[in-house]
Amino acid sequence: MRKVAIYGKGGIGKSTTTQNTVAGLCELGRKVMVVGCDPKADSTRLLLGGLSQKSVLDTLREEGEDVELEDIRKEGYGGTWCVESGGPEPGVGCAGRGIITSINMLESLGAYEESEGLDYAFYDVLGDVVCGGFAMPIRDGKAEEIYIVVSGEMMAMYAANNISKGIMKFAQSGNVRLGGLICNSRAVDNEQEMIEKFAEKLGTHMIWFVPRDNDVQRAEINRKTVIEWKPEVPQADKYRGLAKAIDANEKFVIPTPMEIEELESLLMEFGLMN
Amino acid sequence: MGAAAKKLVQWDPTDIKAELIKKYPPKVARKRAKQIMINEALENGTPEITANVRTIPGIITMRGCTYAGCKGVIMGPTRDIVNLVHGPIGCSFYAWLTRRNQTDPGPEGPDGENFMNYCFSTDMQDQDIIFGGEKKLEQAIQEAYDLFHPKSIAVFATCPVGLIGDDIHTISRQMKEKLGDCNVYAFSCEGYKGVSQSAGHHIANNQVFRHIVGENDEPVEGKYKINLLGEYNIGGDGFEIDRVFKKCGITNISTFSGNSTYDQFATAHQADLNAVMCHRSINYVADMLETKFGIPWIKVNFIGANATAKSLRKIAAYFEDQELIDKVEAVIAEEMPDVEAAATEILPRTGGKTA
Repeated sequence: MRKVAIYGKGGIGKSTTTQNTVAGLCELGRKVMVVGCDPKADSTRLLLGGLSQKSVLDTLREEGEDVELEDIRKEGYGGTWCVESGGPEPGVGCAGRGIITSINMLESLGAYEESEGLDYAFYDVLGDVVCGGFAMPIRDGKAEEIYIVVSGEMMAMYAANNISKGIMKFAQSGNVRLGGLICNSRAVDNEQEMIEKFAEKLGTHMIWFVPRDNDVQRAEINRKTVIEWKPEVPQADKYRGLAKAIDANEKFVIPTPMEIEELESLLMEFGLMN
Repeated sequence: MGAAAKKLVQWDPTDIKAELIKKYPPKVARKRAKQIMINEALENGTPEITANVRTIPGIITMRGCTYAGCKGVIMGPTRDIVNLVHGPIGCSFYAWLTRRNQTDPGPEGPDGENFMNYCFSTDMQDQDIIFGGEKKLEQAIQEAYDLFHPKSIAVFATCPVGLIGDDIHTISRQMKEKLGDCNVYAFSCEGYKGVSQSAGHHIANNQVFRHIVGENDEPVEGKYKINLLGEYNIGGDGFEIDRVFKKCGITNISTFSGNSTYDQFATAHQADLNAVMCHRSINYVADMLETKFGIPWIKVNFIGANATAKSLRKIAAYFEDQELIDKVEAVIAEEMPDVEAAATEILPRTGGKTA
């Protein structure tokens, strides 16, 4: 089983990209579990056809210790297993601690056992690496390969660089590696070239370029992944391509984060090219 | 034995200091040197000793955390305040009756309120850390109130409470309003704050001053009214001090905080004088009492019979009242023979011996 975590700046499209890619992997015949690591519990909406998942932490709170695997995972599109960690309301408690608790709970319930026949476990993680709890999926070998969703916007690249620092830290003590950058295009000037260059500087590669297409939003309104909503549209093929690229990926590295000055000059170079 | 002691006496103090720090690594030795001062009769007064800094690893120090200073040292000796610890159970359990401070049930006798024997905690669990513990705290305050109807409930923050950001002050304020006849307030005394427990003394004293002192204007009777600050009744020494005060006709309104009660704190502003015993833990409270209520303060020391006599004379001198001065002298004259008799009996057995 491959254990994959998707990180990236808030709002960059991690959940959307993850679910569309997972749909592509399903088409390839892969068995996937998606674990949403966001207190909002909105990481599996497209696979489940709506926000109907009861989160691990809510279940734990209501049922006590006596929880069954079937209580916290739900079957979604193409036989994917969907899990939402969940967490507290904004501004109270500790969501990071919640993620630690729910991942441990999944493990003790045997969600990762070989008998489950999983090819992939995907962790969709909230925003930046903000504290120990949110780094949980990349600690202790919970996730072994990381993809960072990024765009050509400065703050997105800044966040990607910061996440790379986190990966570098944990890579030194464990097996986690960076698998590549997924460019989720915001139609910025010279975006593809810039992210390719950025990836090179980080010691990795841009594994895929997802162009901007309103079909993604249309599918979202229908609570579906693009592949499920309209399998024939060009954007569906883009996600199929990303799924294949991840499935075939063999380039796993310890990233080399950039200094801020270096990152700024990269932005200047590509941003002012025209 | 005798020879060694003699030899030590002949040493120069600077040599002793050098000997003491010789074994430390250079960096530690440099820091430690600032904590050992040679106290000679210098013209410039006593040299300033380094304190209130981070513990140097490897040097044996007795040191609690901020929570220990707040809950254990200052609020622990209070008798009729429910001291409710918001946190995992260990923080409350290991700060439960550990400091040997004693109390008596007061003029009400056996019916007097005394919560010191109880251990109050919200017993936070994993779920409370994740989802926040405010509701649990609210319930715990209500439960303590329903069970005991105390005049006051004090809430203490432990480390995780600060990390997850439970708003204990707002909860306390809301519960105070809801309960009506119970003063509820909180202390942000997370263990990791500050370099030692003394930060906890400050947090506790400031809140006692802000939330309790001056709350009760019911007149306290007495001709010479004082407060005793920085006496914690460890092992019951405060009982003896109070006995002597009473004999002298001095009314001790409130001890901060040995054998204390809520009403004593609340009426403390009616005192004519504050006598400060432990300067380190509470001198600024004396300053605050002087600034806000105009009560002057003097330094006292009740450790040992001679120091006690000196302090009593100092208090009497402040009041400039011949009646009190005479009474204090009479009490000293009456008490001293007993002390001297005890000393005559014990000293020959203990002379020349060290711990």
